[in-house]
Amino acid sequence: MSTDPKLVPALPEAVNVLPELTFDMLAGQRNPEALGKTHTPVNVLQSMTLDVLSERGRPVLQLMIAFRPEATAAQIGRDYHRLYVLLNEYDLAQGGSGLRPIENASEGISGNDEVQLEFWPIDPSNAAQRFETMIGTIESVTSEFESIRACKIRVAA
Amino acid sequence: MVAEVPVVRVFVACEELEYDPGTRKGVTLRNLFHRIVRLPGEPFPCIREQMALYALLTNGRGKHQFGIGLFFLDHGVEHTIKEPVYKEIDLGQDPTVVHGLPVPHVKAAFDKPGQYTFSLFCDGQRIAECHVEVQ
Repeated sequence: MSTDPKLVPALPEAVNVLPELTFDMLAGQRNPEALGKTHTPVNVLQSMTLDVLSERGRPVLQLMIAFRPEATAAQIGRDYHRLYVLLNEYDLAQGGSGLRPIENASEGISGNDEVQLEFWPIDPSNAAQRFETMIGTIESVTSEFESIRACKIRVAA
Repeated sequence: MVAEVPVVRVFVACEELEYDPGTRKGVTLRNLFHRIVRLPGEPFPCIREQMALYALLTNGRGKHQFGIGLFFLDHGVEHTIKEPVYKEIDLGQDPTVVHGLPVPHVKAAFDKPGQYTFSLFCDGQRIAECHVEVQ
């Protein structure tokens, strides 16, 4: 059952079942007693799932970062790495499976020289709640980074 | 009357088909399999007293002669075990209808181990194969 109101339910079309065919090598005669008996063993594996809607409902953690004008490339690179490690560890600490950076279609740079970064949760279940709890902490911690002037975080669907 | 040979989308072997022959809707395939194995101590030739085949057909129109044959592949050479016995079935004139073709009662004997092929024929033309390994 879809939770997306834009999606309408679709049903498999009914199949027109044709008259039966039969296949009897013995043509209805009794089985010769000498024939060996058989079975058809199959080892049923663990079930798999496919939920193509999971990506649609997956929340995205969006960070808008403003760097200090005097920050060096080395500082920015180091702080970006620290930030990613921090986010990933927070998600893991809350029972998630970590974050995956995603490509930003707008190249992630606003007119105010702010850089937008986006991350997907590897485990989407309860990801929105995990993200909400980490926002305040991450914003506070990043204020102490050498190169970061401001970091705004929000959760987008 | 236009007649077009259907396209076979699915042709599989299973132990049993479940459906209501009266309404002829909602066919369920029970226990799909690929291998037929002799019970311990049982000899060749052996017999599979009950199994079933099921085909899904599309893009067909008109009346056709359908039949099932059984073949054995021996060192790359195909041998006929049983020629198809044909039955006329009318697919109607709407090629968008998806047809299910049940073969609910299949009884087959196998002389030796190897790969056997159940083939679905339409008007003498082989349109689908279902391979079964017998051990």
